[in-house]
Amino acid sequence: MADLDELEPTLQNIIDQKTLRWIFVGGKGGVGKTTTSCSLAIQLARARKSVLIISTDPAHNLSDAFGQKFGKEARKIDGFDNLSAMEIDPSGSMQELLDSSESGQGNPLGGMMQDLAFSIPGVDEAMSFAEVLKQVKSMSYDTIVFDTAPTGHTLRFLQFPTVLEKALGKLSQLSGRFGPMLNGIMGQGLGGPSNVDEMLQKMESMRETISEVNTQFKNPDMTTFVCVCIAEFLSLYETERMIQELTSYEIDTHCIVVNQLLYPKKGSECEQCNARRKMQKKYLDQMIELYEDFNVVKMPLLTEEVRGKEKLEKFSEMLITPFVPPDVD
Amino acid sequence: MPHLLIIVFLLAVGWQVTGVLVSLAPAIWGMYTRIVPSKASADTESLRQQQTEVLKIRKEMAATSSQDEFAKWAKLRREHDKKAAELEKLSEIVAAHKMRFSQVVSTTRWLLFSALGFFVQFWHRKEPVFWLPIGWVPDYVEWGLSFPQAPRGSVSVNVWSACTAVVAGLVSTWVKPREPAGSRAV
Repeated sequence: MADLDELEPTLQNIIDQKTLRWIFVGGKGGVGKTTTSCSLAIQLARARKSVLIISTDPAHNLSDAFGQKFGKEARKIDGFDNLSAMEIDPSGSMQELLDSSESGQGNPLGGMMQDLAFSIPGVDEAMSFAEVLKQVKSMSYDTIVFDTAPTGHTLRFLQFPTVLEKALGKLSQLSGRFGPMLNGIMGQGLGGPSNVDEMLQKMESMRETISEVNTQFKNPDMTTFVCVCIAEFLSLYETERMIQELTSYEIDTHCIVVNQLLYPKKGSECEQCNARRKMQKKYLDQMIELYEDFNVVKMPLLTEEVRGKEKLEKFSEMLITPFVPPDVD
Repeated sequence: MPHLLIIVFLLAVGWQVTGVLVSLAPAIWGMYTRIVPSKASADTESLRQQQTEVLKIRKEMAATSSQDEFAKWAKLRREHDKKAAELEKLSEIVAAHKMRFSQVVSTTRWLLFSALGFFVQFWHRKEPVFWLPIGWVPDYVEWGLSFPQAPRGSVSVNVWSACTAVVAGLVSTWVKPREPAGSRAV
């Protein structure tokens, strides 16, 4: 099984690659994304000055994993001095943006923003994402780990920059032409003439952020995507699909973490464990054959939930030093 | 030089006959790409090859169990997706070729028959195609048949072409293969 050109089964390469700024962790629901991303963040924190972990999953699990409440603002995780966490709600911050733009009732621009939010699918999430990125950029974290929402959602998120960049480019082009006119018409009705300009400026700056982030995301030196899965058919299938899609977005991915592997002890009487072990081994072999140019990390299923700082730290060791299963059949 | 009557009649018939041919355009296109060597035929040929290949991969994929041989299956699928994307691009190119081809065909057809017909009508507008026996039709009908500029008592080339066009059109509707609903002759 151990091929000579098989890559190291650890995430050490991510730790060593100091230029990495954005690390996405994604996969199907329930495969251990949060556990993996927290563990990876813990390991990164040992090698970098400061690390931020962001959860974009609406079902926020970071709070559960660390047993500490996180919110929209980055907050230090208890027990670490260079590891922070924040949880963002992709659909929530658009609402704020709308609210802030709608300072007065009957403001035509507020209406426009609202129309915009509903007319382009996904634009609300994308804009809130851009908002967050802008925030994160202004903070000085060496590395940002994203604990993303289950598969479909993630890919949509990553696709946004491209889509939105195009849309906003069009918009700012138009506004360059019609802006002065708009200002003339609407400026009188509104309190101040600066309103339209302000809005356009906001959009322009958002566009800049997005296009910058976009180029960073496509740069394999700065961004990578860690796929998390379990050794089961559907999970494998989704992973393959995700990897193909990531490739089509030109986003680098070269690590796969396989979670929840069973290693029953030699001569174990547990019928279910042995049967599952056999099935997992089948898929694992397939994976190693298919993803020969990936670092495939094998993580065992523990007998307890991985919650809290100590357990996560212990678990995270296995991302770096490959887990050696006890004597198995 | 054949008689004006014949020329005009032949033009009308020719228009209809080529119309039937154009309605068979897919078949003509197929022949054209097989016989005449050009960029279009090369592209069409590679499109056919690609289609065969994609079908082959699909068959192979169907024969591979995704559960038992996931690696093999996934590799096939990657290949399939790649080929299918290429196929789509290629079929767009071929469709463009086809479009151009049918444009050229219909323009040529129009120039050969319609435009020539107009020219003949214009050039011979003052000549009688044939004379009517005196007193066969009332005065005002005579005027109408010689419209616009042919001498009174004769049938003008314009009227004659209109008549031949209608007759040829009627005949062709009996002869032409019935088109499937929704399609239109070019």
